[in-house]
Amino acid sequence: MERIFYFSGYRMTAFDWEGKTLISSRDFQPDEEGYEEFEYLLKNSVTMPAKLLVDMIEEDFRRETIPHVNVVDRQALVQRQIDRHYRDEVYVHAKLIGRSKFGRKDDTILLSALTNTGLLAPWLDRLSEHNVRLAGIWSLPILTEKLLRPLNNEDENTLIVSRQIRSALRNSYFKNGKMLLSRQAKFDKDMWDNEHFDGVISNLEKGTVEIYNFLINQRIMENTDHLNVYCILADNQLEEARQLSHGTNSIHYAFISLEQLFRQFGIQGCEGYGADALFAYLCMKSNSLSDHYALQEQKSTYYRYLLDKMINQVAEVGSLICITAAVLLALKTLELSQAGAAVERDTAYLEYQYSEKFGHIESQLNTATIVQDTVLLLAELEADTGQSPQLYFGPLSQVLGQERFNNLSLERIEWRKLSPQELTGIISAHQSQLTQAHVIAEQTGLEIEEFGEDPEANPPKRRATMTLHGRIDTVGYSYRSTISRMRSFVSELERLPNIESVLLIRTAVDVRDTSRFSDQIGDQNLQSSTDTDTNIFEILVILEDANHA
Amino acid sequence: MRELFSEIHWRGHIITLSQLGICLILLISATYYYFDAQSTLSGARALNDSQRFANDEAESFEKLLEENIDEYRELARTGSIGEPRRLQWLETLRKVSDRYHIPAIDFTLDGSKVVEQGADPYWHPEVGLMATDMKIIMQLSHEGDLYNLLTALHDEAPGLFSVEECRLRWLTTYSDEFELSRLQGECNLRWYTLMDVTESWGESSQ
Repeated sequence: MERIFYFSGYRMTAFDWEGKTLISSRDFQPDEEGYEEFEYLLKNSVTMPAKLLVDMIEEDFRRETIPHVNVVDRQALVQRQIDRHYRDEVYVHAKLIGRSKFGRKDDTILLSALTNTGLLAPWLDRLSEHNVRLAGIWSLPILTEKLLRPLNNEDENTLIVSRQIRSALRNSYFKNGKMLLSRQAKFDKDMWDNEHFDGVISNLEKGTVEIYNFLINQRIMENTDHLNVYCILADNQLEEARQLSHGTNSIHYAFISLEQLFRQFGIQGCEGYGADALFAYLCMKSNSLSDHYALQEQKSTYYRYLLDKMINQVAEVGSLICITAAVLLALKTLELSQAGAAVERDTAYLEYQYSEKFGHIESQLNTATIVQDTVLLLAELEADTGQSPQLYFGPLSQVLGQERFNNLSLERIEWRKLSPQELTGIISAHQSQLTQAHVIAEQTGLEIEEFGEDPEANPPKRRATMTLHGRIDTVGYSYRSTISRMRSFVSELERLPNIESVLLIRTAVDVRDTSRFSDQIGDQNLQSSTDTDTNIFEILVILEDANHA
Repeated sequence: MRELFSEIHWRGHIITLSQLGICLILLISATYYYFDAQSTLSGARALNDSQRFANDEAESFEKLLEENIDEYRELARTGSIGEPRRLQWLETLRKVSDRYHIPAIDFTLDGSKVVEQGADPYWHPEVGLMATDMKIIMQLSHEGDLYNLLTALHDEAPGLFSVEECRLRWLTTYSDEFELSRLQGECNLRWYTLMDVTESWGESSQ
């Protein structure tokens, strides 16, 4: 519900609106009785937001041009214009209405002011005293602009004429949809109580001509332009007004039905209230935060009301959101709890299954991997310990038993398990003169396991080796046949099972490039004969990796 | 605007603000219980997963045990697993020596030691391994004696041993003391024994 106070320049009317329906209206005369009634209304009626609509003869309009600048600078320029024209006025308003198409394309502003508020002041005081939630003060002429669209008016020059009070007509002129001037034309005094309508029409025509001439003189209109006059009247006056009016080539009259406008706006309950109700409705529909004349302190009660309303609404909306979210969360929590309970039941069942099936053998299960590791480790150990020297005695005897090796005899057999490093070292020590140790390893096809620097790592698996120390009888054999015999012996050893490599470390009649070889030729033993035993040999037999063998 | 705020009569909003406060408390409580329930559910799910894993693991361990326990027990019976059977090794050595009439055997059995990490290729982080070194010096009639001795030890002595080093040397000099001996053998053996984990099993569960 909203209340519109309409001040006609003399009396005050209060319109109470509920949506688009006018539910009540009361007039208050500017006398003691009227003021008392007004105060009674303010004191006893339901508090509601209110707006004040003024239609005063002492409302002045002025057009000014200012340079086209930014918003902040424009405000300063507008203020300067207001100070220039309305220095002593309290209720002033400025509105940007267009921009010049010529020159420096200045902005055009419409300044307006209530120049004499003496009659309005008592009403304003009472509104203030009773803390009426006044949203602002609106000017009826400026609000008239809102009627242009309902009138489907696209004319260049329009004059809208309305009659709010018996003694005057409100004339508002619009150029291309923008209001440039407005005036309240008082009837002659003898017309005030005259019931004859022809007087109204003659005053209308008279006032229209005056305005037309003024616009021509001000060069707002050209002589060739014509002025369209829209006069808002009650339905029952339309026909009479049309008959009484006399349009000219320059001035065309059109009479608009007030009731038709009520229907067009969809407002109800305004029958018999005249144009006042229409403008009161337009005022009600205006943006509450953008009025024309009210001072900040006059609107403070309304702002407090808005703030209180906002706090209430924020609190209520917040409460609603909180409670909705809380309920949703509670439902979700319930769902989670149910899911949790189901999971716990399943866990309990699994625990029961475990204790039934495995509870009594838990300690065995914990060592299952160790049992497996033990078995696997023992398999490795068995493979390693399975490599033993006695296993090679038989095959070795078979080789030595061959007739061609009759001149060979073993003196010593050494069995050792060597780490890859030791094995490489031994080979390297004996054949370093031939080539590098790792090359030997490659030549012999040995797969020597890398032993890293990690002190916590296990040492690499050792490789079993057998070193054969022996002697070959060279008497009666040529050097070549001795060498050939040794090579054959090595070849035979290489063919034995589980032998990876055989290295002839030392041999009789060693004429290899890097070897030193000495012997005695002839029957007589020389005193300075070499002390080197030339008939001995040393063969290193490297066995296959136990786990591969 | 600040003046406007200072003029607000908060007392007039006590009910709505109280209502908002209560709703906020309800929301905070609901949020707290929601996250608590979510955390509880996560915990329950983790516990469930853990128990499910434990059940599956126990099943796989049971199967593992079934696959290996017979072989394990057989190895324990043959002396590869359990306490080092030092006395039996020595008795076997003596018995074999007598059986094959080996002229002379001189032996030393060192103390059994737990294999330390990095000291032996067969050290295992889970399985305890004990090593016992044995040194044997023999006067042999022929090379077959060494073959017989080592083969018999391997077959009859309870446990596993590795011949770490062995030297067989044909003697070139005659000795009155060992008139029948033609060879001298010198072997270093290492006996391996794995610790028995089944000792930790309870009596009832065996």
